[in-house]
Amino acid sequence: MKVLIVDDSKVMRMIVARALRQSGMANIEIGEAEDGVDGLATAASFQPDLILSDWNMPQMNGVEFLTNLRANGSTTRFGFITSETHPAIMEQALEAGADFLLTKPFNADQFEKVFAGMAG
Amino acid sequence: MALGTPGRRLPIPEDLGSFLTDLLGQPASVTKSKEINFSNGEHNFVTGRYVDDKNRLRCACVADVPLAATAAAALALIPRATADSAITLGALDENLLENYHEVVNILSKFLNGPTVPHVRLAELVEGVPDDLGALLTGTTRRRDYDVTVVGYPGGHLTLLGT
Repeated sequence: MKVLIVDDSKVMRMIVARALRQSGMANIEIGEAEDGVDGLATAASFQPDLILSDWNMPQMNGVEFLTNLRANGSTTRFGFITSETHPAIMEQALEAGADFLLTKPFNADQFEKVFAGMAG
Repeated sequence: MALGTPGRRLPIPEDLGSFLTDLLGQPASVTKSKEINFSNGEHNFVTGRYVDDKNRLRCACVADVPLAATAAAALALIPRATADSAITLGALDENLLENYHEVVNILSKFLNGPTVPHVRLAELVEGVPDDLGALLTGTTRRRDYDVTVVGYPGGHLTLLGT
């Protein structure tokens, strides 16, 4: 499975990657991008099965990234990983075409559930 | 403001401990601490300033350098020696500051809720900024915590919110 992690924080990309590897999913190939602009370009070349994106990022934030991605015809499964917990954020995420939203801090168990949902 | 009145809720030690354990990937223990005097000179501090949608200071997270270095190092599995060096220097290097910024950013989840103005982390500053005095009033909620993280020095954290 190819997973693209989009976050302007290098350490958060590292932590997400670590949790993905701890989730037990075999053969995970990870790509990384620093913001929405980088994410669009990397998604086009990397062709991920799953995109995990931060919400607040410079240049192009997570919602703008997702909106652009869907406008380009992408149906790639997309989840936000954010510290934002307000219900309006969840609503905005789903309206933009997100499949799920995980709040920080997260753990490997939550990724296991995401992968189980993708398999089902 | 009494803790039982409506307003911004600050986490109890147990909830903060669970949060840090999940975030840092290391067992963390948090207990209630006596109120720290930020000008006691024992340690330097690092302060996260949270502002509302009109950029007004609403909340703050003040950590002594030992706790900031602990969280920053544990987050990225950086050896304890790096945290110890920061404590000796009394300041976090660029890498530790970047990591600690992420910790303080994620901490904002405790400060937000459906009945209080939304806040976001505006900046992380070394020391305790002068404008924090406005938060250190009788209408601001405050909790002080002692934090230990397995394998790291640990330290003190204060959350302020209005």
